[in-house]
Amino acid sequence: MLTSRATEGAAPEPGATSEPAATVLEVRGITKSFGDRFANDHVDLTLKAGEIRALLGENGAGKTTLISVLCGQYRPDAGTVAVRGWPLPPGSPRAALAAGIGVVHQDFRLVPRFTVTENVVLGTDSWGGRKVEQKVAEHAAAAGFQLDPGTPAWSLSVGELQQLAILKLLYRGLDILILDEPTAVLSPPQAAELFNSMRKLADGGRSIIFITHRLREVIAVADEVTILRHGKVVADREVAGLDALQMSVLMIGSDAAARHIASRAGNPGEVVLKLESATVEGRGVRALDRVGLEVRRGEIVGVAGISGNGQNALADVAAGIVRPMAGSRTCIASAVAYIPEARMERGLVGAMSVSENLSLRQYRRPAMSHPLWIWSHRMTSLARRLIDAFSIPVKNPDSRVADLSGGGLQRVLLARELDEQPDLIIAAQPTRGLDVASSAMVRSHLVGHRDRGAGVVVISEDLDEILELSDRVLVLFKGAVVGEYSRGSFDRAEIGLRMGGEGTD
Amino acid sequence: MSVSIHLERRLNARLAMRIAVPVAAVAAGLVAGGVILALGGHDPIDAYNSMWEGSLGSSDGIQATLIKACPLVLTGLAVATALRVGLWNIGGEGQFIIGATAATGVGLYATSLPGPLVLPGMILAGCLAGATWATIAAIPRALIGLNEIIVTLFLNYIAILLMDHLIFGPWADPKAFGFAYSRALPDAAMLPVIPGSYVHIGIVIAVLVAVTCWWLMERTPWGFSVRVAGGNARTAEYLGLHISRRMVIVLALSGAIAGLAGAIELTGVTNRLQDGISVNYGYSGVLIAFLARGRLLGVVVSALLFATLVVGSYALQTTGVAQPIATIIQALIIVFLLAGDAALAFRVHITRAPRALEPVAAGVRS
Amino acid sequence: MTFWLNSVSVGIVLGTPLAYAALGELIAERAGVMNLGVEGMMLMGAVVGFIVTVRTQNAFLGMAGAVVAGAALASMHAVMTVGLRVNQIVMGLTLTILGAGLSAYLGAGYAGRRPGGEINAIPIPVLSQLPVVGSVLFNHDVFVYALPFIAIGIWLLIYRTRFGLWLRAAGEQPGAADASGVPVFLIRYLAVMVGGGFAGLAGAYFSVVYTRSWAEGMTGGRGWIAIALVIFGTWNPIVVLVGALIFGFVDGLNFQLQSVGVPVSSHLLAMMPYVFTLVVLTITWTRLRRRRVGMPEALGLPYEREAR
Repeated sequence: MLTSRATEGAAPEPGATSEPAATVLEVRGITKSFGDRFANDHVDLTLKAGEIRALLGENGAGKTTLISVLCGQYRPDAGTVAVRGWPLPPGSPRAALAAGIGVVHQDFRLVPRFTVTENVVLGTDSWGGRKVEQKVAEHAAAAGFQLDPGTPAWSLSVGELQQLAILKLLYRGLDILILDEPTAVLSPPQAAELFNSMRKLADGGRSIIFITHRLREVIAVADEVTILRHGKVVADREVAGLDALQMSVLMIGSDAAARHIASRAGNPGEVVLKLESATVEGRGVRALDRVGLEVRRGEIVGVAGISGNGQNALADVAAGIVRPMAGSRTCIASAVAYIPEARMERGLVGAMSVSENLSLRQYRRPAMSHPLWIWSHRMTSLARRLIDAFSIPVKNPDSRVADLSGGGLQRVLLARELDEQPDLIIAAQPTRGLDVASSAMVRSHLVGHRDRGAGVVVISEDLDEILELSDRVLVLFKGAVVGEYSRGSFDRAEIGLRMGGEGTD
Repeated sequence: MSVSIHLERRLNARLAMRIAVPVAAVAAGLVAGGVILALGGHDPIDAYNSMWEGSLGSSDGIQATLIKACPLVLTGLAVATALRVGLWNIGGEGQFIIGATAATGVGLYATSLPGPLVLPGMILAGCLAGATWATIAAIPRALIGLNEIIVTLFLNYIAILLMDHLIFGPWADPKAFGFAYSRALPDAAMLPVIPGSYVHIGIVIAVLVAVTCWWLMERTPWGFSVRVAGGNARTAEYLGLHISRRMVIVLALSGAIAGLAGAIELTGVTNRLQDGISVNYGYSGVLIAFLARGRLLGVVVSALLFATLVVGSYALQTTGVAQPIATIIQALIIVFLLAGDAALAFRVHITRAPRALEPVAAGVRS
Repeated sequence: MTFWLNSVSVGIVLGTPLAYAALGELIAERAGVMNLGVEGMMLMGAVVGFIVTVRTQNAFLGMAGAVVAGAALASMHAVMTVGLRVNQIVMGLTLTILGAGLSAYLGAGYAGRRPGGEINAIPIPVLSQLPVVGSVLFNHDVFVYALPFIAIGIWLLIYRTRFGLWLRAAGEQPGAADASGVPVFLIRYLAVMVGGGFAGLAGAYFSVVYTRSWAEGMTGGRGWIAIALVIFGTWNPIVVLVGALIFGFVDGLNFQLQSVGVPVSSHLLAMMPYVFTLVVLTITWTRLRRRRVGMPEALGLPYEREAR
C-alpha cells in the first residue's frame, strides 16, 4: 500500500515498499500430453510486473512445452492462461501477441532470406521501406544492439540473430518476454551482458520469464524461480535464500553431486588424429581457419566455443568426412566413431526402424549379411543387445526411430557408433537437449572409452562440461583456435573471454 | 467469437479404422460418381452393376482385369522403386511409350534375328529404352539437383511426339490412311497366353518383377543402402554412401520397369504401336504407388484394385456412359482416399473461442 | 522478314496464356504450395469459358466463368493440401486427371461449335501504325495488353506490400510467420485459389480467344510448361513473363515453320518447345544454385503447428 497521503508527492523513502506489483500473467492447471506422456501436468505459474522469473528444469521437464502453450502454438488439454485478468484464447499466436506475450525460441523463428527490418516488422502493419528502417535502427540502438536494418538475416552471427529476435519483441511493444535457453549461444561475458539488459528491461516495467537448466544463471539474474520436473511444478519461490544444491535436488530429485563424473587424468599414448593448418572455406567465409589439433590415445580433447564458430566444419574434418582445402589430416584410427550435432538430420534415418538404424555401420559385414541377403534375425539380435546395453527406451525394435525423444535418439547414435570399440571418437554437442540421466550416461561412456585407450574429441558449448571431462581444452572462435589449455591450468574466466573473441593479444 | 477448426495428430489409428476408412472412402467415391451419373441422365445402380459384371463378376471380366492390371502393376512398381531412393518418377508415361517404341523398332527391323529371339529382343529393347529415358532425367538430378518431376514430365511429351512421328511417318501402316498406328508386328512378336485363357503371361512377369524388386530393395545390403540414401541424404553421406550413383541406377531401373510395361503391352495386347497405347498408365502408376504407401508388394494389390475400376468403367461405356466419367470416378475415389488418409492421421476439433483479449495497451516503457 | 515478324506476333499470343498460368502458379508457390493441377485447371477453364460464352454469347462472361472454375478446382487442392496436409504432388496430379475427365465430360457436346461471343484484337491508335513494331506489338487483345501491368502489379504486391511480405514468409518459414502472427493457412488458401483462377483464365484464353473452339485436352500439356516457367523465371514475375513470351515464340515457331514448308515432320517440330525448355531449365538451375535467391524454402512441405 502507498504510504499515507501526507507524504503524497514526496519521493518514496529508500527501502520502503511501493504498491505490490500487478500480476501480469496467471497460469492455472495447464496440462498438455503427447500420446500417453504428460509434457505439462497441471502447471501453475504467476508472473508479476517487473519480475524476472526463471523456469528451471532439466531437459525434457516440459519447459519448452509450457511456453509453446503460452505463445499460442500449442493448445493445452486443460488449464487456463490469464493476462492482466483477462483469459487468453488458447492456440492462437495472434491472440498471444496482442496480449503482449513475446517469445524468443531456441531456434529463433526468423526468416533467413529477409532483412533485419523485414524480420522485425513481419506480422505488423508494415512491410518495410525507408521510414520503417529508420525506426528499426532507432529501436536497435536504444537496446544497445549493433544491427544494420538492411542486412539479410542469413549473414548474421548466432548472437546477432538472438538480438534480432529480441528486437522483434521490443519493437512491437510486447511486455511479457519469454526467453528459451538464451545463454546457450553466448559466451559467459555475453551472457552477463544479456542479464544486464534483462535487468534493465524488468526495471522498466516489463516482465520476463527465462528458461534455463543452469543453476548459476538462476542465481545470477532471477527474482523468482519455478522448477519443473517431469511436467509438474515442484517448487515456486524466491531465488534469494535458495542455494544451488537445494535447487539441483528439486530439479532432478536426488543428490546432484552423484551425477558428476569424476574424471581421472588419462594416460595419453600415441597420436591418433592430427590436423595441421586445416582450412575449410565456403561462400567466401572461412569456416575453419588453419586449425591445428592433436588427439592421443587415452585422452579427451575438449573444444570450447559458442555455436556457429566452426564446430560443424571441425567435426566433419576431424571425422574424415570433409577434406580440408588446405592443410592436412593424419589419422591412424582403424575405426572412427562420429556423433554429429544434428542427430536426426545427419546421423540417423528417420523413416527407418530403430533396429535398422543400429545396423547402419554393420549391415554390409559378413556377420550380418551376404551380398544377396540380409539376415534380419541377426539385425534384430544386434538391436536387442544394444537396446539393453544402452537402455534405449523403445519396446519394439522395429518401430520408427523418428518417434524417439532426444535422449533416445542420442542413445541409438552412441550405441551404433561405440559398439565397434573405435580408436577415435568425435562427439559434437553430445549432451545438448538431453535430460540429466542421459547426459550422465553419455559422459560416462566417453570417459570409459578414453580409459580403454581411444582418443576422444568433445565439442561442446557447455563450458562446465568441457572443463569437467577434458584433459586438454581448445577454444574455437570464428574457425580458429584462439586458446589451448591443459588440465591443471584451466582458467574459466579467460576461456570464457576467448570464446567471445576477446582476451587475445 | 470465432469458430476455429484445428487438427491434432493421432498417434496410432486402430486397425479397425485403418481398414474401415479406405473402404468408406472408395464407397464415398462411388457414391459421388453415382451422383454425376445421375446428373448425366444415367441410372447409377444399372451403371455400377455393369461395372461389376465387367470387372469381377464374370470370367471374361476377371481376365480383362488381369490383363489391365499388368501395365498398372509395372508402372506402379516403377514409381515405388524410385521412391526408395527418394525420387518421384512422374515420367512413367514417357518411359512406357519409349519402351513400346523401341520394342516395335526391334520387331519391325530385326529381321536377321532368329525367330525365338525376336520376342526377348523386343522386351529387352523396351527395358533398355525405358532405362535410358529415365537416365536423361536422373543425371541432372544427381549432378545439379534439378527437380526430376519437371524433367520427367517433359520427357513424357517428347516421347509421345517421337512415337507420333514414327507411326505417322516411317512406320505407318500403308493401309491405315492416316490412322494412328504402325504396321502390324510379325506373329513371332506376340506374347504367349496363359493356357486356358486370354490372359497373356505379362501379369506373371509383372508379379515376378514385383517380387524381385522387393527382394532387391528390402532384403539385400545394396537395397538397404539405397533406402538409407533415400531416407536421409546427409546421413548417407556420413556413412560414405555414394548418393548420385544410387539415384541414377535406381531411376534407370525404374525406367526399365516402365519400359518393360510398354513392351509387354505392345506384344501382349495391341500388337502394333498406336496412339493411346498408354491410357495414362504412367500417371496412374504414381497414384497406385502412393495408395500402396510405396510398398513394393502392396503395389500389386493396389494395381489390381485400380484395374478393377478401370475395366469396370470400360464396361460402363457399353451402356452408353461417356468415357470421361470413368476418369472422373477414378479421380474422385483417389481424392476420397487421400481425405481418408488425413482422417486416419488427424483428429478434427472444432471450437468456439474469443478471438483476443480486450485490447491490451502494450505501451513501450523506458 | 515477315516470317519473323509473324512469329513474334504469334509468340506473344501463345505466350499470353502461359504467362497467366505461370504467374498464378508463382503466387501459389511463393506461399509454399506446389500446384501440379494447373493443367487440369486450365482445361476446366477452357471448357467452362467456352460453354459460358456459347450460352451467353458474351466472351467476357465466359472468361469470368473460367476464372471461377479454375479457382473452384484449386480450392479443392487448397483444402486437401493446406488443410488436411495431403501430399501436394499426388493431389495435384489427381486434380489434373479430374480436370481432364471433367472437362471432356462437360465439353462433349461442344466440339466443333463456335463460341458466338468474341474477343477481338484492339489496335492501339497511333502506336499500331508504327512501321514494323506497330502490327506486331500493338494489335492484340486486351488480355495481352494487361499482362505487363499484371506482372508488374504482382511484383509490387510481393515485394512492396504487407501482404507480399506475409506471402513470402509463409513460403520460406511458415513456422516463423505463424509465430509472428501471420495467418499462414489463410494466405496459403488464398494464394492457391488465385493461382487456380489465373490458370482457368489461361485455359479459356486458348479456347475462347485463340482457337475459338473446344477440343478435349486442347491445352496439350501447357500447364506443365507454366510450372517449369516459374522455376526458370526464378520465382520473379517479370522474368516469368519474359520466359513465357520466349516460350510462346518457340511454340509458335512450330506452326510457322510448317506453314513455310520446312521438310520436318510436324511432330518433331512440336518437340522444340519442350527440348528448349529443358535446356534452358538446366542452365538456369545451375546458375540458381550459386545465388541465394530462388526457391521458397518451404515449397512443397505442409505446415503443422504442433509438429514434433
